[in-house]
This record gives sequence, C-alpha cells and structure tokens, in this order.
Amino acid sequence: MTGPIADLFAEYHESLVRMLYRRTGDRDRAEEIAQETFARAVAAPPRNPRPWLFAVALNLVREEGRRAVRQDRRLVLYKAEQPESFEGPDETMDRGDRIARVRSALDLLTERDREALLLKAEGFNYEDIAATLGLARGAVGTTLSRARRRLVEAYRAGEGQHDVAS
Amino acid sequence: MTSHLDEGRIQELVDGEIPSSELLPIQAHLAVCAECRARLDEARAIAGEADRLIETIELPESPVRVAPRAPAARPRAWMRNLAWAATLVVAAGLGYVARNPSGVTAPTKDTAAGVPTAATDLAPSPAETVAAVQPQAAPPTSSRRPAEPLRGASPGRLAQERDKDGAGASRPVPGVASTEREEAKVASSGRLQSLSPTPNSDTLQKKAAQNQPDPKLRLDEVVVTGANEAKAVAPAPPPTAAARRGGVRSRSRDSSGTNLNRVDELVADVASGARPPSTPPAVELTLTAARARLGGILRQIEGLAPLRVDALGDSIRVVYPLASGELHLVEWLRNGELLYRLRAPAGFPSDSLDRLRARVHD
Repeated sequence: MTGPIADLFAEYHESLVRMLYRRTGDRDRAEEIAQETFARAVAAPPRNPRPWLFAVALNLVREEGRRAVRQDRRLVLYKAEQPESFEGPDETMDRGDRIARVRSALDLLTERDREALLLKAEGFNYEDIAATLGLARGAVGTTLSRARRRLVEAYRAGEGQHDVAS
Repeated sequence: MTSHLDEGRIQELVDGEIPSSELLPIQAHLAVCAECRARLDEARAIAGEADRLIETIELPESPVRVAPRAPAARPRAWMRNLAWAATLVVAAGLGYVARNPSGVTAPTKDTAAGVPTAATDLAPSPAETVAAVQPQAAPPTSSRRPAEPLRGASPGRLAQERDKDGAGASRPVPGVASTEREEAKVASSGRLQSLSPTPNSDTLQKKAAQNQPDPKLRLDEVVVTGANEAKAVAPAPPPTAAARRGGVRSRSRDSSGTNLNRVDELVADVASGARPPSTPPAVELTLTAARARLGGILRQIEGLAPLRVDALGDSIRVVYPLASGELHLVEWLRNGELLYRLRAPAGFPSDSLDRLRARVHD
C-alpha cells in the first residue's frame, strides 16, 4: 500500500466499516464494501478522501441493493447482534430488541436522511456530509433535523413491537 | 435583531457548525426569544437521542486479536527486491472455518529472536529465500519492505510503509484493526521456523553458485519456473512448477539462488489440483470483476483488507499487505471447483499460515 493510501486506510477504515455495518446490517458485507472502496482509492487516489470514500461506499451499497435483496442476511444479523453495554430508558427491553427497533426505525427514513445520520454518527462535519451526499451545505442542517426527528419518532412508535424477524 | 431561527440554523447550533463570527447575533436573539430557546432545547434532546440510538448499533467484535509489539529491524535495501520467501501451497480441500473466534495470538518477535530477519538470512546464504514468488519488486505502487517486522499492532505495516528507517512510530489508529492485527500476528510471530541459511540441496547450492556470485537474490534473477516467470513484472506463481513435481525441488532447478530449503518446509504440499495455471502478466481488477471471473465467488481472507486484486491469466490473485511483504491468495477454477493457494513472504510462520487458511472463505 502506498503511503497516502495506507494513511487513509488507517484513518478511515474502521469508521467506514462501522457506517456500512449500520447501513446494511451485515458485517461481512460492510467489510467487503469497505475493501472495494479502498481498492478503488488505490486505483484513483481521491483528493478529498473522507467524503470520497464514504460516497463511493454508499454508492456501492446502493448498487448492490439494487441487484439483490439481502433481506435474509439482515434478519439473521438482527438476531446475532450482541450488544456490549446497556443504557437508555428501556431497561426492561432486551438489548437485541432495541437494536432491531433502531434498525427498523432507520429503515423508515429516506435514503438521504439515513445516510446523513450515519455520516454524522461517524463524526462528519456538515461540509463533509454535504460533499459526500452531494447536498448544498445549507441543506445539511434541515436534513439532519428531519432525519433525527423521524428516527426518534419511528423508534418511539415502534414501542411494543419486539418482533425481531420483521 | 435576528429573526427566528429556522430548523437548519438550529441544527447547526446543536452541532456547533456556526462560525464564531456569526454566533453573536444568534446568541443575542436567543437571549430574548423564549420560543427559539425552547426549539433549540428540543432539537438538542432529539439529536442526543438519535445519536444514542444509532450508537446502540455497534460493530461486532473482530475475531482477530492484537498481537504484541515487535521491535523494529532495519531492513536491507536489497531486500526490497525480494518479495517473498516461500510459496505455500494450500490444498483447496483443507477447507476453512468461517470465523476464528479465538483470534490469533502471535508470539512476540522475541520468540523468534534467534532467527535473523529475512534480510540477514538471505544475505550470506546462497540459498536465498525466494520469493517463491513474487518476484518483482512488488509493483511500484507498493513499497514493500519484506524483512521489516511489524511494529505494534495498531499502526501495523501502514506505519512502517512510511517509516523507512524502521523507527516504528506508533500511531494510535483505531481502525485498520483486522489487517494490522493480522500482520502483527504474522510478523511478530517471528521468522519462519524453517528459516535457515543452509540450503538442503546440493542442487541449490550449485545453482546458486553458478547463477550468481552475489548470493543476494534479485528479483529479476528469480525465475521461478521458466520463461514465463522471467517476465518478472507479473510474478508467476511458483507453485506451478513446485506443485507439478510435488514441491520445492523443481523450483530449485529453475530458480537461481532460491532457498528452496525453506520453500520445502513451507509447502503444504497438495498432491494435485491445487496449483494454478501458469501465469501471464498481472492485470489489476476490481473485486467485483474478479468475482465475476471466478463464477461469482471470490475467496478472501477474513480480517484482512486486500491491497489489490490481479488477474493472472485464468487465476485471480488477491494481494494482502503484510509487514513482511505481501500475502497472496491465488485462486482459480478447475472443473468448476474453486481452488486456492496462499503464498507468503519470507519469515512467514507456517502456523500463522494455518490460521490464515482457516480464514479463507467466500
């Protein structure tokens, strides 16, 4: 690996995999897409690396999503997720269920809103979110505002539905 | 006076995205507008909750464990020309385990302290490790320092790439976990147990002697199996010759100064079948294209991120970066069956290779 790419990898790989994992629900797929993304960076080193990497990765997710429905894998993973710590008001609820509910809520968002949230969760600033998603910087705030509100509402609305295999 | 804050503006406040130069008027407004204050508070609460919700989805723990730091070794300049020391032939039939839950803990470099770095080994001895493979100074884009041990699990070879002096600066990199750990595992477990400067074959010595006064191997001189491989740009899988005759010996005949002794010990010989077709120059591919060539399946090593994927004629080579060079997973279809072989650089411990084999999967 060349120096700059190695640096990119070191700096963003985990974050990218985590974002992809939250996006797809599939750790293997997340790793695979991350690998493909970095492979492409090697081929054409980007100037604005973080937005580029995440944008390419998200594109790959969308393309794959169009080709195949990975519903089954996602279901399996909902069950398999092993939360490490526990926090939040839903003390009585199983952690796995909580995660499943979050995923369900995320799925209810539009693709753009979901992606903006996941990028924000990886520490992106508005400028990078805008660059990654092709938004005007001024639109990022409203996008996040809407996305966060909808996520929370969807999550709360999902109360009582402990159906992991939805 | 600033008018009421819109949703986007409020969100920018929540996320600290307002340049300090623009803050004052906004603060002044908030000081006198209860409604906007309330909206800001609510937005903060929602943002906090949304963040918490997303954070409940954590990355499952990687199965690879971090290996202990290995002290740095100074690589020799000519080592750069040597890519790999051994070809490891892995029978497709060995199968693989999906995940190695126990991870891999590698002995520290000290355990192999007795073993000099590949550079050292190779220098004095005519039987040089040879890359069974990859000849070639690894493609220009990857500056390899094959002999350099891994320093620290975290920065792994990535840091080494930049730090040519082997100072081993450690970068607290949170990511790159799996690749680095794997490298740490590989490199810090020391040199190949079988590493020995003494060739075990007269043929080797003669060959080495006659082929080059300089025992050091230079990639352009490493001809693995013949004419094909002479075109060093595309490393030819040595296994071809080796496998054909069941091992190292054959390679010794073809390679100059090859330390087949080591290859001998490393080759988990595969009776038949696990040898790739002969190789033409490498053509880089995307993972997707590679997968397509192999009929929809591409084997990879779990926990490692490939550096690139090459097409070598009919076979596909997935290249993984390691501290001590490159790890190659060469795979090809034969009669509808996907066979593969792992090839590792000098100093690659065979037990690590076993562990890696366990992690080869689709």
